[in-house]
Amino acid sequence: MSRTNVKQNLDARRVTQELFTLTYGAFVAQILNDYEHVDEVNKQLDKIGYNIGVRLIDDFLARNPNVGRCHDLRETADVLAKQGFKTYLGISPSITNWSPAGDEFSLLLDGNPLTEFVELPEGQGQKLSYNQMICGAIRGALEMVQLEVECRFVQDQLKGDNATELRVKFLKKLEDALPVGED
Amino acid sequence: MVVYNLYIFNRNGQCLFYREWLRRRPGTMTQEEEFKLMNGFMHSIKSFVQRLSPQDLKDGFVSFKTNCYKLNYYETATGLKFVLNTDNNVGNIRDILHQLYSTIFVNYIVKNPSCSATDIINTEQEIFIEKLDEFISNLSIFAQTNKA
Amino acid sequence: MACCVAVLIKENLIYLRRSTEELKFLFLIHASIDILDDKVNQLTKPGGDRDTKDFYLGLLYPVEEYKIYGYVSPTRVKFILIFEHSTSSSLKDSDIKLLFQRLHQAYIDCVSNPFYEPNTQLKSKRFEQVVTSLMVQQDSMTSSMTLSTPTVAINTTTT
Repeated sequence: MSRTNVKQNLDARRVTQELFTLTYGAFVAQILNDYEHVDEVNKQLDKIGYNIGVRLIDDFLARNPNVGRCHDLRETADVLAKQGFKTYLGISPSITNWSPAGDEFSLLLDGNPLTEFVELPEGQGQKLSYNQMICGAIRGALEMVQLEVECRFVQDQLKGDNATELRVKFLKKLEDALPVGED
Repeated sequence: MVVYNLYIFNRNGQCLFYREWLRRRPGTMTQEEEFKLMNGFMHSIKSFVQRLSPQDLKDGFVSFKTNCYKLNYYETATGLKFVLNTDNNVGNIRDILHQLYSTIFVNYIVKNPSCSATDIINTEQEIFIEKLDEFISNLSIFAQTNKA
Repeated sequence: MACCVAVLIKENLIYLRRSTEELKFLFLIHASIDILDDKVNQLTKPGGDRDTKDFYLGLLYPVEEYKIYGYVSPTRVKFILIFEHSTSSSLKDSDIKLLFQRLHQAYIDCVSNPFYEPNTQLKSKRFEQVVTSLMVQQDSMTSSMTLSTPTVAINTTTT
């Protein structure tokens, strides 16, 4: 019973998408101001995403008690796209481009609430990976469930590509008792 | 029914949090030793149970009973371990432990920016402790703890 | 067809697009600022009967070849559209108002871009697209609008 109560509370506290989009935008713009190199900004966004991911995974598991350990990467990809993205960004990317070995896949994002109003600044700004936080969050979240992955954008509509494609590559399975690496 | 005490371990085996509601007999070792033993014990019994199992286990190790108390175990996919000791009359409380994790731990520790889900929870996290006490004392299995 | 689109904050021109590089557009815009201010002041002064939701200020003034229209956002951003006399004779007030609303929405989207610094020149590609559509596709737009009017009328009578 208390569980449904919590759910209702969460819903009542929802913020509008615009506020969220503008908050993230203001935030990225500020770090871009503070750091000289765009590469450094991308790195920071990734790190911030990572810190979000390691926390978010617990929230995700709390909301979805039926999600257990995944047996293979296909299952992981499925949960990530259909439940993770749906819960936190309200979109369900499609899973495509599996590598022959089955250790790498792409998520095609159709419509991204983070980038609604964004146009990248000229010059250096074109190298900015605006959505890098999503990569970090996926990396952080999966690391907490013993999966080490590499995550990057290979196409980005903000840079004039036709689609926004996020590539996730499985690196290794982390052992249970091993200490976690610091970020 | 009675609730005795609670341990929370992180995936590295560090005891993040300990709380007791009823414990008449003090432990025979230092608390630190007890945490270490408990974690090691959980680790061993988990793998032992898995090895002995005649078929694939779904949840793995869930609980064990002695003649005077029952140890209930719950582990999340992120490697957090919850150990709750109760008396023998308590049934399967997996759901309760999941609720403890999802409504108390996640809400007041994980979502609290000033503490980390992998660090020891210090006594300054009053809101977590308060909510935890409230949660435990509202459980039906807690009913006789104070009378016991 | 609009032959000049301008956006101003106070007296600063933050966006200007014109069909020809003629200086006279600048004069016209400049001259219309005062009229705009005047209209805004008059309508917002206490006791004014201005509907606060309506930012359209109508025809500011006609000159020989042109008609100049104005619109002001609640944050006092001014939008000016200039039409050639010959092409605008068929335009209704409501059509022009609609054009301004599209322009205003495009401006809002544009300032929502986190990399745009407020009160600086608008350089957004998306904004350019909207302006282009205002300047080019206008004839087809008005015809489609007149087509849609009867349906609106039917709707109002049935409800």
